[in-house]
Amino acid sequence: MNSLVTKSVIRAVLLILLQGLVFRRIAFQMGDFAFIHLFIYPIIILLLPIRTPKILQITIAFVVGLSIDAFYSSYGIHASALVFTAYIRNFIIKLLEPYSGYNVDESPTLSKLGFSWFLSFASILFFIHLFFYFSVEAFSFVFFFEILMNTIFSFIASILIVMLYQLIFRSDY
Amino acid sequence: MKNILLIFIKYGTHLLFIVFQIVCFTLIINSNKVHGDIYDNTKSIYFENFNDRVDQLSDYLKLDEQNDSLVKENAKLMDIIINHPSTSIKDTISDSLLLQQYAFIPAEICNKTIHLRNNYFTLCAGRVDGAKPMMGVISAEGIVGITTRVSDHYSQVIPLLHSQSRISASIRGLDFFGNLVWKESSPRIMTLEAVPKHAPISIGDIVVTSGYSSIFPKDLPIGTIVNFEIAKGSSNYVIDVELFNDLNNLSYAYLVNNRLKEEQLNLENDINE
Repeated sequence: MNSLVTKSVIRAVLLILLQGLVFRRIAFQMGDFAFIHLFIYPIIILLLPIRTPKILQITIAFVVGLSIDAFYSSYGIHASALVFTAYIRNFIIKLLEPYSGYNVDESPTLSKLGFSWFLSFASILFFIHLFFYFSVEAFSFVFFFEILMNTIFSFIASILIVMLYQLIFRSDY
Repeated sequence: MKNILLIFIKYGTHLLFIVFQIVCFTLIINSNKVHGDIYDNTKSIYFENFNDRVDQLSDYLKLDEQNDSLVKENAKLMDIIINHPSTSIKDTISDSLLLQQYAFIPAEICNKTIHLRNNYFTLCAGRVDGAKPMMGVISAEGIVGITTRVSDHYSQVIPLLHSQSRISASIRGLDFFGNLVWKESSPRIMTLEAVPKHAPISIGDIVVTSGYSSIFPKDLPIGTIVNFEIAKGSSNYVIDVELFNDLNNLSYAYLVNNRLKEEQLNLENDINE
């Protein structure tokens, strides 16, 4: 149990630093085509142990979001999106529950629940997260086309990175 | 207290989610310039419209109050106009005996009939407000009638539109005067009788109160001449006068209090005896 908390904390800190220091600087740009942004930090919320109290999940999301905002100097946008993602996560977990149920003490990782389950889980939440994030960033649906393009391309890039990360660190991280 | 705690345990996640979102959006709007601008803009588009509506509604609800104050203001102004017709031209004389002859009491018309042969108006002002029998009643555009019976809070008015109403009227600019009576069925047309046929009247002349009764002040406009003729074998005109005021949609009137009326009547009665 303790090791699970430690693991989660270490994972969160590392991923926040990775996002803030490395992925923030990577933006694929081809002429005017600048729709690809890499966001991997939602995985922190996705990989929280299933049993984590919902109130705690949302609070963690808020804190992590604010830390990411500190790197991006976009106060509140990431936090808002991540709180939303954490809120939705519980419904998605309930929705995707396998017949055998979950081992509630564990994180819902690829190694525990299988490739296809994790892909659909991560895809749904990443897409929701990115759509919410870009909507809030634009702050007006006048820019709906840009919001959609940003969401789609960033989603493809981010989900690739996340799946790679899960395939490489198969042992629970 | 226990219930509140239970509610929080049950819906805590949702509440916390909403609280965090509110915090985030407050942060976004206050700290990011672009977002703040968009927020202000959107707010002004939707809320100014809304505020206008609310203003309109509250204005509408206050109309009664405003009407009352306007009516009082009008009464005051009419005091000034009628009691001091040309104060700016005359030399100013300070005279402690100078008396304001006419005072005006605003009153709401609370009941009226228009379409009968003998119509009556009821004013929501009675003895308490200073109303007395045989007082003139005027409106902003013209005259209305004369009070007959007065109770504590109400007074009954014989309006112009009554077969027995008789108002002494003259034509502005001329010294001829006659009686204004109601013969027509239209509530806008009165008949001016007993104006001698050598009077040089024409259509469009303005009919005003003569001031020969103690009821109305002199020179209050009543209406315009729309038609006149001389009856066969008569030496007087029969003049159709169109009223300035539409008694049909009148809701406020002023009672004319002639403070010198008693004095005048006493003097006239002395002569008669």
